[in-house]
Amino acid sequence: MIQENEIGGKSNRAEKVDDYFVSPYSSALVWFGVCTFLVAIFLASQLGTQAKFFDNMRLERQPGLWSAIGIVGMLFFGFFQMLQFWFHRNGLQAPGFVSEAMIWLKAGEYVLWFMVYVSLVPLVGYLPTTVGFLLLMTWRLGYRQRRFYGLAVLAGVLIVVVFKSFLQVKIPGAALYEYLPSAVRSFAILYL
Amino acid sequence: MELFLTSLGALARIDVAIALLIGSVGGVIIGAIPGVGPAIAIAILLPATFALEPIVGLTLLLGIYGSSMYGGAIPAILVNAPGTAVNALTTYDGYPMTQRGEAARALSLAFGASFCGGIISIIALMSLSPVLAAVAPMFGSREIFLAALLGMVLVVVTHRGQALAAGALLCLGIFINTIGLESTRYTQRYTFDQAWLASGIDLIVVVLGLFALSQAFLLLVGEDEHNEPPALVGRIFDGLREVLRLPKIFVPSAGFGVIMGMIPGVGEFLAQFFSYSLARKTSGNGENFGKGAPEGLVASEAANNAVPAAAMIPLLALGIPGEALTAMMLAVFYVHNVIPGPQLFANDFDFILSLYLALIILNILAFGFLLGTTKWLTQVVRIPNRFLGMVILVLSFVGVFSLRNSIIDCAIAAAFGMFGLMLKRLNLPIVPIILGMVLGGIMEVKFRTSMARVETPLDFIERPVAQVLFAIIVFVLIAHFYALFRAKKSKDLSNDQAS
Repeated sequence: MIQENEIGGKSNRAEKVDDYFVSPYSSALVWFGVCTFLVAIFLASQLGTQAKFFDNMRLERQPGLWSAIGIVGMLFFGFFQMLQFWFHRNGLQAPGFVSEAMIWLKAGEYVLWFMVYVSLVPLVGYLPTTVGFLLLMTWRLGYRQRRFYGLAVLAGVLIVVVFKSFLQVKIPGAALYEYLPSAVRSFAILYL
Repeated sequence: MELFLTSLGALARIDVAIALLIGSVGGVIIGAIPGVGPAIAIAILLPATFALEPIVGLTLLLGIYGSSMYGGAIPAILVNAPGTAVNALTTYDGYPMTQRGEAARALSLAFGASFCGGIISIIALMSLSPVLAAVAPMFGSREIFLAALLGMVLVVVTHRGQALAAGALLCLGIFINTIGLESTRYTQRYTFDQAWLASGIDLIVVVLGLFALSQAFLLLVGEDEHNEPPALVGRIFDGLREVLRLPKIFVPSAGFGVIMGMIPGVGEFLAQFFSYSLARKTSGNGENFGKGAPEGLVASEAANNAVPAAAMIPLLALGIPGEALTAMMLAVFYVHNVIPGPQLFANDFDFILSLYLALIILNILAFGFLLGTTKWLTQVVRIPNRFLGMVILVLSFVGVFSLRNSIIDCAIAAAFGMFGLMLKRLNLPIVPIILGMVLGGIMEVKFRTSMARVETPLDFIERPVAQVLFAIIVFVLIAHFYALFRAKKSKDLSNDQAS
């Protein structure tokens, strides 16, 4: 539930349980907190229009009640979090907002890769897109040894075989499969 | 006896056996790979299990949940990188043992302790069943509402030093769960006239985004770790015998795991931390804790592996998940129209018993698998992080897209993946969002049904179980504020002394 960001990295030792939970305030954290608090204020401003409250209806049956509880809760906790940020304003530590935002932007590139992959699967097919995507990503990530390309192909084929052929998850056949010879087409639509 | 045989019969099927085998072996392997962890694996597999029968799907997921802790000890001990978040304390004594050439002994101790912790936990669960079966029917709508509220309060207060952030994220989860068409007057909530929001935001899409995609992005933007596992010299099997000579360590540790696992919102980490602290005080070897003390390793592993079985208690008895993994399993129950809670205990106890038996079998399978394959399995820590991130990206697609074949779902999951990445980078918790979504949904329904029979606010707590739950909530809040007050006072005192 905590130090999720440590998974895959080296363990940092903590002497007290609090050391695992409490991270020092950074300016990136403050910016993030302020932005999410502003989003909560915006959602609160929309409460009357985006969630309905009817006259002469008992509170528990009001459709907007639980949206309101969620938003008011965000504002409540967010307000005290803002106060805490204010009290710690002189002791902010790294990372700074800009350096952290650069990492978020860097991750944005992989979001694009993911969305391109997602968009291509219904057109090109699950197996060819997956293998092609993994090969391209292997190259993009800078792996140049042959064994990584071999591993990428193996991983792609295994994923498709396990999920689509064996577990029969619902991934439709691709538009491109329509051009295949009829003997291969139904097999490709069902299993690839 | 008849009930036992019926439950055993439910497991004596080829599909259940395959699910148990894949779950337990897969869980060990997944746990052993730093950067994956059971939450990601369960999130990815969740939609695939919807096509399976409940007992098959649940044994598969339980296998991954229960056995990943075994595998998580491998990178924690060999390369000082916890395979799952809850193996963090295992590095304290496991890695120093590896440094002094005792890697095989450390691994065998960890596996032995995990096995003992798991079995003790299941025995506790089975012993508690008659009590649970008697108590569970006393839970009506009001009591379940209060139990869910208690879960929320505990999720917030156990994030010490981050309670405000955890509270805000929990409320965000409550809010996200309300988006879309509501079921009483069929009005839209926070859809901003967007058709793609009308059916709401699916829990699994959020789970896959926050757990799987965020981890993929995190690994992809990071650097590759060059882990080189040491050669293992010695027998892996001897550890169980050595663990059994330390009952004063593994029994209380497993006890902590059981108690902490049962309390919603607390989970493995606190169980591990408290049992480790207790073992340090009671073992007589406290000065060597953190330097490779076998007792420390046994305490942390016995505690964390005792949690999964115990975490099933609030889920099965009340239908309330205590943490993210059981929240995901709740989705499997709902998809098959099996509603966990008092009625399940009363009417389908053989199903519950089948799950307990499955837990025992998967512990034996995981332990046996490790005894035979550890020397080979240690090589998985060599997989580069970013390569792993790219594979998780592809696997996440299966999980999201197979739900409704919707590219919009994939875009929503990617957005939550980015949000999860930010939270992880800033060391903020993501579990409260999931619990907010699940518990918020339960509370909304239970509040509506229970208020129909309530005239005054005091009626809400007129029954004994409701009174007990209400008293616990008040006690937890008072204890939390008292702890905050004391912490501030001691900080002020130390500041005064410093000046």
